[in-house]
Amino acid sequence: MLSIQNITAGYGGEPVLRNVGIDVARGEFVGLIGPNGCGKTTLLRVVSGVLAPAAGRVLLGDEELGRIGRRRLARTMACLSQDISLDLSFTVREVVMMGRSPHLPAVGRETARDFEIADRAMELADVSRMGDRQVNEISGGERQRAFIAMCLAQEPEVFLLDEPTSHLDVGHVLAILDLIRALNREEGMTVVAVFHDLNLAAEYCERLLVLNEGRVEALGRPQDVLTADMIRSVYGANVVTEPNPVSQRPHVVISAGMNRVSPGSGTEGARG
Amino acid sequence: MTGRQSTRSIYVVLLAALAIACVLAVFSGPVNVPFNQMLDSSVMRLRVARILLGLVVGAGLSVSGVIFQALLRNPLAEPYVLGVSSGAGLGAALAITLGLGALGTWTLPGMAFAGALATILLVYALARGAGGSVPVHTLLLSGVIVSAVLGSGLMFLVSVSSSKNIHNVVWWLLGNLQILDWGLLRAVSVVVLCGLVITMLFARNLNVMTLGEQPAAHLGLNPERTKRLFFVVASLMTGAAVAACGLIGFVGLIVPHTVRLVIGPDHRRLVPACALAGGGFLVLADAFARTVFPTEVPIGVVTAFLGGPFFLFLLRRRKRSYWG
Amino acid sequence: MGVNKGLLKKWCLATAVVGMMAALLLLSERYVPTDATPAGKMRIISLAPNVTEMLFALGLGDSVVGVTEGADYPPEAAKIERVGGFASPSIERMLALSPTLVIGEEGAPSAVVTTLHKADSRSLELRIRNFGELFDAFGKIGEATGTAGRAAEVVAAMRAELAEAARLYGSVPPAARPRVFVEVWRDPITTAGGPSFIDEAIALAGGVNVAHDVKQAHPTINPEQVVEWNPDVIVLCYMTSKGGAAAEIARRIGWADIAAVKSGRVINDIDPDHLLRPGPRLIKGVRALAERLYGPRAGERPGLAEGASP
Repeated sequence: MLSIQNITAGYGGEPVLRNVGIDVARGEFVGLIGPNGCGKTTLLRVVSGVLAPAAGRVLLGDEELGRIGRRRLARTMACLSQDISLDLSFTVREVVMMGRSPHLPAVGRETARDFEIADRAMELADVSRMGDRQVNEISGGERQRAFIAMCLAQEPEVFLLDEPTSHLDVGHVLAILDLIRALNREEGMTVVAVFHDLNLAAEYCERLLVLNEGRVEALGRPQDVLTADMIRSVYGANVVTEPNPVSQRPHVVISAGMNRVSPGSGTEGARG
Repeated sequence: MTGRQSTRSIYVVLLAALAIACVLAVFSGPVNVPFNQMLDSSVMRLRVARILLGLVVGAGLSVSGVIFQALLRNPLAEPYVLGVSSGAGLGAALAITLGLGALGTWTLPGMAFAGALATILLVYALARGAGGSVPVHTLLLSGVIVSAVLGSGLMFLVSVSSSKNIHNVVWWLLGNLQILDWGLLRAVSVVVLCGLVITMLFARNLNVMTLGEQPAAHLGLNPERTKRLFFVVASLMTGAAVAACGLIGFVGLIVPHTVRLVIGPDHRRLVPACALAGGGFLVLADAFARTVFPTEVPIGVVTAFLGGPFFLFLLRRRKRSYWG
Repeated sequence: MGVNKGLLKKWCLATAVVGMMAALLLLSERYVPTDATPAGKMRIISLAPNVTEMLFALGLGDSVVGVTEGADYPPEAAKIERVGGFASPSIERMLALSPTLVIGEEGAPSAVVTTLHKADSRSLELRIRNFGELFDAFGKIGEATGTAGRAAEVVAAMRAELAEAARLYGSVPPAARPRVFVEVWRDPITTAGGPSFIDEAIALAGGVNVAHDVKQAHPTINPEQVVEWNPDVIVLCYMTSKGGAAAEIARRIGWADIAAVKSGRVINDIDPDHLLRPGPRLIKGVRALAERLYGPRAGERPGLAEGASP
């Protein structure tokens, strides 16, 4: 479905990503992990079409991304970015309806069908009851779900998410991820999501792409990729991994004091 | 829609207010025109032209303000924020101090408009970044700097001018709705009306742009093209308004905020409502100015005097945030 | 250790700054121009173009060493060194010229005057708002420069001209006088009200200023008001394109029915400085106005010129 080939990209100056590639199959749930600054958001920007790579290309289906018009792209791919303005006095319903823009003619009003789709998106994201409340007056978790509803209203086949659960409490985190997982399984939506939390990534993703300093460090199933060695060498942290008692997926176990830096001698657990 | 009055009733109220303002304005002025002579009167022709100019300029400045506030995502944005006023003022001051100002009825407005256009191009060119993109904060900064530089050029001109020229430059800058030439009124109206139509057609895109440029791109917009279109439209409307009337402040900042408090942030409703409200407000302010003061008073003074307290009143009544 | 060094540095810096400020103050107070003034020679600086004209009219042109921008009459004045603009004369430049007398009009920045007092120069501030004050001003300049005799002559000549105008036109009854609208500027329309020179000039020239009842000297006027006043003559005080003036005014919204427009009596060939600059050439302005209002044979007892309203 989504073929990311040899992407080298940056913001002028040194490239942030070097030769990164992955082929994502239709209906797959891929997680992007890696330490701060390794290029996860940059990769999402390239894949979503807002940042042109210096080298390499992205294919959606068999079409090159650059050749797909923005509106057509937006009908197929939705991206939940981190920098959506929060100070909006639009209502939740109005914001969700903005998700229908790629489907509307350049000059024209929404139809009843558009309202239906938006309503359904709000139901899925569980924000129906706050449809008339202003976005800047609801909680962080509700806002995130509203933006997710906006993305769902685009009726995308591919859903890109940039740290969808940052600043959310555990209840909201699980609600959102379970929703996305349901969409992935029941509607066949392809999902590529950036994760900060390794355990969440391990639980929800079929495959993980590990980035380190702009390069692909590892790519594969969580059980194959998420090892204590990998975490030590990429994140510079000492952890223990063992199977999650419920799902048998890898679970990262941390303990206080495992990464103590002693003055004078080399740092234990430093990046290898 | 909690707290937002129904759109239709708001439009009705605005249209009614506009009509009342126009009627009041027709009867306002230093000259008393007997009722039976109204249709035939020269004075009436002057007044009607002035009312039309007020409607057009008020609408143009208000909608320009809305556009700049949406694209720059800044509640303090207003039509003159990118330096259009300084450029137009410099153009006009040059015309006056070089003695060209009186050469023809169109020389002074023409040079003011040229100054406005040159400023827009300069500001946009300066803000251009990699790949032809124009980041919004750079644009704002560029506008402020260019405005300051041109403003100092204006101050320099004033400082070396004869007292007669100083007087003329200052009075032009203070702004007024005097209109003596149907041709000029037509020209300004065409520019503003085209601008209004284009803005209303694409108002939905303004909504999406307030989410941010990348989110807007994710929703299918081309942010650079959208910005360019709207900036050109807003700058031309502002340039035309300033060329015809000098600097009328306050309208482009306060009318959008006031109307947004009542009708909400959806630009498909906000833009036409601001056009009506801005036009009506300016006509009313001018009618007030013409009757209360024996000589022409700078219209900006009156708009601030009338509009400020009303806006504060509205602000206090609404507890919730209205920006966005 | 480090704390003491830091404190010492701060004290040195502070002393240096204070020392510099003190030096600047002392030096500026003591500033004395290096070239000494030859005894008895007057060096006059004029801070307004009309004052410059008045000085030249008194034969003092050679003693004028500094003028402001815009001093363009007589032509010799254009060659004199500039000391700045109307609103911003440069004190440095003035001091460098070692003036013995500085003459300005009311409204010049007062800091200028005080500074010059300190630099051993006398200063004179004039207020000229009408002909009476103009004659007084000539007298004051005459006293200050030792040319009182010449000043009296100049004033007498001007009074004689005005007396002649009074003889010719003084007895024209108000109802028979042409009603005149003087347009000083166009964007916005500015005219000359009651307390202005132009108002006096119009009266002396046998006309009536339609804006006479307006209390300001240079008010901005609503064009409606001009339509209501319905002047017989319109005088434009700015340079317009040659020959286009009457047509341009006729095209103005609602102005086509004004008497002056219908009869084509739109005058734009009087030098604006003859009407706007409060100096000796105002007399020319009065004469020019009279000629336009009553015809070129200004010496005779005039019948009213064609087109003037009865």
